[in-house]
Amino acid sequence: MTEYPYGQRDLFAEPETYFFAKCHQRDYLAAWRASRDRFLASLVARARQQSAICASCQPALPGSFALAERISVAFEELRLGTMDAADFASAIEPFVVKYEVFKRLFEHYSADGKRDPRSLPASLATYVLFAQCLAALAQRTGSLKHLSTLLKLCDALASQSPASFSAADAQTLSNVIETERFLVERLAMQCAA
Amino acid sequence: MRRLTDVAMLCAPTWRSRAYAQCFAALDVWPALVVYLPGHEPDWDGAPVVEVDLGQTDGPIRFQPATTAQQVFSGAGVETLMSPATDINQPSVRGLLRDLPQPVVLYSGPGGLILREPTLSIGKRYLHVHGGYAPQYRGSTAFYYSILRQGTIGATALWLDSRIDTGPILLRRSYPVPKGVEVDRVLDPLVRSDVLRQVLIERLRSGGFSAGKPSEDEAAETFHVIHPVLKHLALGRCGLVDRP
Repeated sequence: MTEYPYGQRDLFAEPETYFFAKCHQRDYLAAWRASRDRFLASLVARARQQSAICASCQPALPGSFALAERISVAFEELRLGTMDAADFASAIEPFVVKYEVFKRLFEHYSADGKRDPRSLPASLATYVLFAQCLAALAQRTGSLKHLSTLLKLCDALASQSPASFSAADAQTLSNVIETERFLVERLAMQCAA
Repeated sequence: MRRLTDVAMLCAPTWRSRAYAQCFAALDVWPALVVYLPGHEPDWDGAPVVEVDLGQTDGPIRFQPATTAQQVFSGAGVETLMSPATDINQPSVRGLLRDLPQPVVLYSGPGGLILREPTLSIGKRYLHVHGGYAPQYRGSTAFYYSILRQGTIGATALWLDSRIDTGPILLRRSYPVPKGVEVDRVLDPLVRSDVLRQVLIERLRSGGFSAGKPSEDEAAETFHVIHPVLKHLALGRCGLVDRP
């Protein structure tokens, strides 16, 4: 039985490059599903608990914008239909690139797109929000690029202790994981057809 | 034996470099000089000769993955230099490249390294064959995304500029994916080398390299290293997932 290899360590602390990944095993997809199922079960349990974890992020830094605020505004516009998927993709593209290149995000960025040196690393709440954005975009557009980034981000989030998520974030992330599963299964069916 | 007096090749120890060297050998056309980047040659554990049919009129490509680029070039007596470093952006490598008499550098650097300024601005033109059909498939492992979407694998010969895979395009091709051919070590290098072959043939015919056509940003997409779950599905389309 193949073991899904990206659940063994904290992927925010020790990022994964995914270069030349060996994934030809027949049961690779089943291993990934099993790994996600375990994480999902722990998230569902977490979501039922009272949460003492504060989901709020670092307080505002003068001269910078907060990543969570920036992408949540765009996400809300997408949901309301006042922003189309292409514009939404453009809005989050700088952060997709940053996550792909540096494997992490920060709470605050300056207007030129560079991270504010005073900024803390992104909180799990911000990463969950970012995952939600990626899932919505991949679902609406069928974008494989965003699905790939979502899979990587979900690997990293699944490498965290469930107790480190707030109950609300655990619930949101559960939904993201379900969407991720749906998108992969849909693609697998298309490939098999 | 013909020498391209205007061409030097920057050569890392990779499968791609091996495919390029064997492409030069098949044409019996050679770069004037090869600059080797230090590094470990990968070990091949498959059949000594792999034949891949990409639909060429002259039959399948024969590739000997275990034969290194150094073995091919030294057998042809091509002049060589050893780079002082693997990182192509280091000043020592930049100085070496600047001093070369050849104005065109065929780029076959290590995976994951990107040629940056100021090395891009030392008066050389860098010819690169990108593993994807640009501009629709720019970036890293772009060919896996085209395999998933369209069942095709492409490559694009372009002049490098300061952005990723956005330089002027000399030639691009897209091929139906043959079943059962390993992608990372064989198919992608061979697809790139087949595009290089066509660029070299045109270079011989016309006596110079084309300036290329601008790569339009419309419909362009830049990809990042594909996640293994998606790669697994792409391998399935190539008939490369283990059978029970």
